[in-house]
Amino acid sequence: MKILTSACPRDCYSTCSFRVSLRDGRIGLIEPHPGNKATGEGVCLKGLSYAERVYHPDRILHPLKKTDGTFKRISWDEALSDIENNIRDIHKNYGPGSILYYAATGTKGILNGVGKNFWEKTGGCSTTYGDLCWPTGLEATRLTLGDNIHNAPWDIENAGLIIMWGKNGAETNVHQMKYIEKAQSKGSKFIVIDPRRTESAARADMLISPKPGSDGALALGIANLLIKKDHVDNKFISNNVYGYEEFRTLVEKYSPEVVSEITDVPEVQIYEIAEMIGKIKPVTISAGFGMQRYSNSGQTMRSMISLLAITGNIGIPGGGWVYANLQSHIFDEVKDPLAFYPPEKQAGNINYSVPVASVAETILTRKDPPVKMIWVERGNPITQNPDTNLMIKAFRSLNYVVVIDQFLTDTAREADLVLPSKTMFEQSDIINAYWHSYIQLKQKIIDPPGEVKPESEIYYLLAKRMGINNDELKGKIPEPNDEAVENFLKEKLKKFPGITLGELKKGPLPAPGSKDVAFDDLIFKTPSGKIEIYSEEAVERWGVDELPQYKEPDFYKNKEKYPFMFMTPNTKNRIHSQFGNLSHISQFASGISVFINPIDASEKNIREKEDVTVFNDRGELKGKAVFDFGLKKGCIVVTNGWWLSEGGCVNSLSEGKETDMGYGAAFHETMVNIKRGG
Amino acid sequence: MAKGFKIDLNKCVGCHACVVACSIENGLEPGESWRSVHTYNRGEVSDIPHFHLSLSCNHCSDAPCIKQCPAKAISRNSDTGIIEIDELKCVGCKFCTWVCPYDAPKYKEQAGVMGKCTMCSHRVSEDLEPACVSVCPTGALEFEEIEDQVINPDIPGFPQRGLSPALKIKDVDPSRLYPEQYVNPYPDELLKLYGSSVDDTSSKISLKKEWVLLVFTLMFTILGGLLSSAVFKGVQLEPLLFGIAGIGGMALSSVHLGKKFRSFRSIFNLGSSWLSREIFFYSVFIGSSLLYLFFPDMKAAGYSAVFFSLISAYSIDMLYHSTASENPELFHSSQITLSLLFLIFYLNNFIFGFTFIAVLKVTLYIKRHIRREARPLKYLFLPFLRILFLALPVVLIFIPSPWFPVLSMVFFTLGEIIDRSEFYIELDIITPEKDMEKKFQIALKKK
Repeated sequence: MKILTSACPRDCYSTCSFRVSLRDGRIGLIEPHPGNKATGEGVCLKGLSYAERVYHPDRILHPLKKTDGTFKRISWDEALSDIENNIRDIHKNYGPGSILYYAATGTKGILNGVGKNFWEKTGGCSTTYGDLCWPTGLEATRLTLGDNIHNAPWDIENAGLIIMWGKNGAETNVHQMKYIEKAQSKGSKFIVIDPRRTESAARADMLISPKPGSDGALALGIANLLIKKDHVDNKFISNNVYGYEEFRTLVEKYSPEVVSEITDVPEVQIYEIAEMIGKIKPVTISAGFGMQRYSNSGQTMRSMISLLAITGNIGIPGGGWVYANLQSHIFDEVKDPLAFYPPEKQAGNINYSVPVASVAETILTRKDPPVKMIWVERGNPITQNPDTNLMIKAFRSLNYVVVIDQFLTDTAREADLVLPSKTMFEQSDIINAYWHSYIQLKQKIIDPPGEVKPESEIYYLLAKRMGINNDELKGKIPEPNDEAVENFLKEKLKKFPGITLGELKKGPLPAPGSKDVAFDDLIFKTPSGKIEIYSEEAVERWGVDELPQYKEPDFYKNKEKYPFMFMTPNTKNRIHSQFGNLSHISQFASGISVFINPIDASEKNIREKEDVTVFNDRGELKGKAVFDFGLKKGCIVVTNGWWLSEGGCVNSLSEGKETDMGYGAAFHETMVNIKRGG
Repeated sequence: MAKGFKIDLNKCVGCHACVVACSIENGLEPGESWRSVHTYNRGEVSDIPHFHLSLSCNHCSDAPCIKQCPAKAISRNSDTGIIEIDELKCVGCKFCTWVCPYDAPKYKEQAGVMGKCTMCSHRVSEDLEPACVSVCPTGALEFEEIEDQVINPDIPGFPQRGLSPALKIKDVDPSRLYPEQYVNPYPDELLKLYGSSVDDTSSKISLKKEWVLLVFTLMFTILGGLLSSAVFKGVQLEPLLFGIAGIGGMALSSVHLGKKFRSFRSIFNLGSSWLSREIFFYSVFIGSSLLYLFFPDMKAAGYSAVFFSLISAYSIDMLYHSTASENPELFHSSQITLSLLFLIFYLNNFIFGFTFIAVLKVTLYIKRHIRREARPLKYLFLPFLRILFLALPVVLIFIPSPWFPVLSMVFFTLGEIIDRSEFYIELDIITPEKDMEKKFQIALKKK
């Protein structure tokens, strides 16, 4: 048996370092690599289930072409010819801008960049700007603190008060819970703010459940009390905070009474949390991503950061804003969120012209140039982007759809051509993280099974067919062999002498210059050099108020017709739509559950385990009703990631529209109704 | 001192990594993992804690699985203290799942044998932690020396039966039981309705699964009774029919074995397994019965048959008594020993004997029904029939008629079917899941 180092490339906080056991050439037990201090304690069930995923009988092992509605196996030669012919046709009839290159975040790695290089070399394409996941919070943080960095994961142990706000770490960042528990056992307080009594709230001191979308008002209400009771750090404010006086005026109108009315949080809890933030130091707020997928959420996140700014909880051990830690994003020329934005002037032949929040609408309506072909990799837009039904319609309107995936996802099922894709063990790549700051090697451990080719190889072969010569591909797309891939990675590492491929094969390495306490130098890369509670850039760029005003989210307006707020949180069982098809995972969640507050259920005459349908104007979703006494009244929950082929997906109900900043998608603003019967 | 698992309920977040790691490391199908995570207050009812208890085998000092395995397939490794199942010896009878209150032994559907946590002895011998411990991302599961220690008997999900499990449980910190929250008050009706709907954990023993055993035990009782009438009253029995029924009964009760060709191993543990004893004494009973029926001159064989019928009846009763049942009573109305005695007395016209047993059985039967929760009147129909079916033969024996003896036997059998069925329905093996559910119901009622 051999043990090899690798790292998990999923879009997940933890981004674990692995020790992979290889028994008779087969992936076996995956254990934590102790070199990663953040994740060295263990791995999650998804990581473990790779042992099934790699060898799953449903895995796509060769190209598939759809003819008469069914997929037939074809050779690589046929597949590549098919693509080449279609690209040439579209170039001739519509121009390269009619090709939409859609790449999502299904797997991390710096080799992912070769996709864009390919399209650049072959005449260009249209692609998306913005991001479905987290850019609103990133932009809010950038505007306010100047950079998206935060204290090391283990630093939360030093906090006197931990506020987990709109995040369910126990399921989505399980390694964080170890350090929170450590803090608690030393006497720290722990508050969870969530409309659900989540797994993370199990051992919390307090659970505050605001109405979804109203968190901004809650933050301003807390600020109101902090200022009124003089629980602010005046010295810190005068040295480091820009716009405090204006903020003070703003929050005056957010009395506990007003805020309680807006958020449906009892006044007593607003007093309690304000008292704790005011009296306990240091305070860490760990904020989730779901909360920033509302139309008002950039400002919401800014108001939350303001609480830490006015109490001097930035730049200290145990204190700070834990949202995204991009200290390991050393390979990016432009850091997120700026990298998500369309260039001010389109340069080159890649046209960043499709807002990711409304891909479906763009495909269906754009005329100049019209979208005629889509190339999808590392993504599953049919179920994971807003408005599934519209997306299906959009896909079916296209001339040619290519999808690269490991399994026949709902998106792959819509393709004309499906190409098999590698797993994390079948090609080496270097990955960064966004919670800890380790650089890690996702090492090649086995050869791809069947006829699977890594994407870089597909691009290489296709580029050759399109007449691109070797010189032009140099440094852009590696040749299809392991040595070339390693050289490609080594080239990228050249800038960082402390990081070599050899060392990475042994274990993770901290990114150069990364530090455990973010902003400890109190340098903020904002226009004023201070923490900007008041941001002129916010007005210029996004047209929102300079101050983190609370604006009622748009979707409350639909309450008459659809009285329930629909929430679609992630669980420990999946990373979005990945992993749910494995039996090691599905044993814990088979079939769609519709969680509902029992009081709401009884008003609707819904009994537990009964078939129900959740619906709105855009679609419907069927499942079994499950009583959740910890769920706020007026909310309905179906967890994210179900496939249409499993019975339905949550985005059949969501809407494609943008947030107030950062080109994010406000697709958590969904109102629904529920009825008995499936 | 041997090593064992330690679980910290404050750290466990129910991530299930331990369950999956166990399956992968030990090559088990999903769903057959040797470790399970039991969740308390799944529905997040306010002011009641929500926590997870990850359990596998506790390698108890006083392990009933070792004692009761009929094939001597389960033993303790004297070096490590680990309780091991020898898959080459296991007959797949699943009786160990009936005696373990922790639901540790798991049936491997494909292999037809039992498996259970080995503490990853193959890893531990190489100085590695068990797989479940190694992957636990919060450090909730540890592997350490287990001193004699007391586990809080109130922990939901950990039924305590004095078996000295080699396990430590760190209870939820009293200051972190549940978060302070403000919820819309739940109407009592709703909680009551919820209470009744969550109680659906499936039973290990049910009439549907165990009807074969019911048929077997009834047939055995009748054979025992008839044989005694042959010995004491000289009633003529057809040896061939008796043999077919007796041996057929044995064959019938072994169809559920995962490894039928190893069924001979079932009598390897006469020293401590009531299942072994039952099979062995039953075989001796059938053997001596046939000897007597074929050679009626061999009186000793006849007496021996009667003797062994009673011994095997007692073994059957002890077998059920040795399970990790919720109501571990030895003395009850559908006890096979009582039924067999009744029949022996009845068929040999020992009036005092069978009247006494009938009264005893009825008393015990009524006692059992009184203990149950009140039910609507229509549910009393079957109990009424059961008592009637026992009373009728007692009365009919005094009325001379060629038909009544046959009719009496039919009534007796029907009555026994009702009683024995109720026994199987009520015989519930305690599991962590059931223990949790029971304690959750109590917590709900307190609300």
